[in-house]
Amino acid sequence: MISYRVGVAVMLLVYGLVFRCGPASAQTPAPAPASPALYEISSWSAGLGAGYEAIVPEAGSSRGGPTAIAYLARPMKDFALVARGSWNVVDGDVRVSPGIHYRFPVAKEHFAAALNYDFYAVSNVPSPANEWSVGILWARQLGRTLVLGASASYGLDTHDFRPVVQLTLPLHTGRN
Amino acid sequence: MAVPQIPALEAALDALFARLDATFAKIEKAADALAPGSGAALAKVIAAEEPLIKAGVADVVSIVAAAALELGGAARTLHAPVVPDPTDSV
Repeated sequence: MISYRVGVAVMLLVYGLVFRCGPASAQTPAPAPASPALYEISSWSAGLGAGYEAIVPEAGSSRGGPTAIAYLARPMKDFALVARGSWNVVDGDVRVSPGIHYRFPVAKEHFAAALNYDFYAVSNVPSPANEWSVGILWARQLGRTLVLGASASYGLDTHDFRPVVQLTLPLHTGRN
Repeated sequence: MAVPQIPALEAALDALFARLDATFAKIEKAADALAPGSGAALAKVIAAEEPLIKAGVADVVSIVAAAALELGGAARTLHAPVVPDPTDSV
């Protein structure tokens, strides 16, 4: 089983690379780019939502329930740094998934592939181990505000398959 | 971008594809349990999309290279363009 500590270390390394201490540490300062700094709050997106998450384990019966969702994202060009948290309103299970999205539009639809590290805080016993997961996401803007999304992720340790359908309300959308 | 042939990666992808096939079979079985006949219909859809799915998975090296460029650039300058996308919320 891939260690929880390795997952945390790799995720912190990726985030640390992106958010490392300022240009002052570079030998030659880069010219001021037109795009916003990563640490500018206005360049980040955040929102809340609700959805239904199911778990289809490799062995045993499937389960699922309604969830409340919150997300924080730093959109970039082809990629996005995203941290998504979900709370199962029935059994209180919490999943927090920091990760990286790679977008690939197909027939004008918004798709993305995700590499996440899933942290679990689970009310039920035994608690699933934290693990790396890969997933495919789809989302579509509904009107001016709401976003309908669906995803299917696969736990690399547990081999659980997790389909999700959700509706989110962006509270802030990152801007240049 | 040409995808380099790396034997270890090929083996890892083969293992992943085998898991994908097993997962698809499980989903089809679950669909059949819910609505008899739907498993076969789902299998047909998956079979049609399978080459696309596998090509996408096999392109992972190109994606990693693109990630290194974009994230590396962001790390170097601490700046990156903001292009919001609906998938950011999923």
